[in-house]
Amino acid sequence: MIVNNINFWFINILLFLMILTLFLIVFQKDPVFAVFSFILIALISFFLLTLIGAEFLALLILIIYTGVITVLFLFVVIMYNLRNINIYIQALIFNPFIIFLIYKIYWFNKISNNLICLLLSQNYYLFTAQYQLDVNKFVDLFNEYHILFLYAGVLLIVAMIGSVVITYPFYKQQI
Amino acid sequence: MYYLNYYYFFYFIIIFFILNLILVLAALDHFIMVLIFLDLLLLTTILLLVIISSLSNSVAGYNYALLILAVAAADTALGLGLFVLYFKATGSVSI
Repeated sequence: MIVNNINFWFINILLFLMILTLFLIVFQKDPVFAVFSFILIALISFFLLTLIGAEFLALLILIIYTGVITVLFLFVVIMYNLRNINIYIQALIFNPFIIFLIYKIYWFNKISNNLICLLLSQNYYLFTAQYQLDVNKFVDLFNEYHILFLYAGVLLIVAMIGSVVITYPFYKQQI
Repeated sequence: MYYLNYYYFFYFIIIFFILNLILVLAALDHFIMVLIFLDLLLLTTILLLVIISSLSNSVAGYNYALLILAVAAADTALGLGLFVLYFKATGSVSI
């Protein structure tokens, strides 16, 4: 996939920002601001997908992640007035399982160092063929794969009914 | 003009996925943070599927990404419903 000079640097900067905002979630004391920084990651992924060329899913992520999920989180956080988070980062650092994972990440970094280097990536690439998305293939999304949309809709209905049934106070009727 | 190196992209997504897995384990004291990091895990899988479908020029990745979006929305709805019950019963946030 060929991209412009500006797009190339935007994609690299956005990928770094995505990991930085993950740490911004962790170090927030107030969960309201943690949810606001969760919106930032959704926005960054929106910009990434628009730069790659997948506008449809980018807009879906913008709608669902920032419009549905964060609203649910904010509703619960503000309703129950949860203001103090204590994520134990010390337990994160000294946990032997996590040390093992960091060791694995380090060796993955060492092995694939040549592939990752930012400056080398200008000359080194895997997929040489020029890629352009066929818009006609998106017609298949509504012809052949339409049943997946129905599955998604059924799943959302089940989740909605389930969340209503869970939180509905049946015990008050018995009394 | 540059060629986009996909290894670079995959590497970042793998790092993001593993960091979220660690944070889910680390944030067990706070129920809502666990749900936030679970949603971010699902978002990374969506990004991976979209990139793979853009490489292979097929629409299958987009469909599975749509399903995962629905799963993420259902996940938060049920998870927060459970949180409401749990908070009413115990009065604490930690699992």
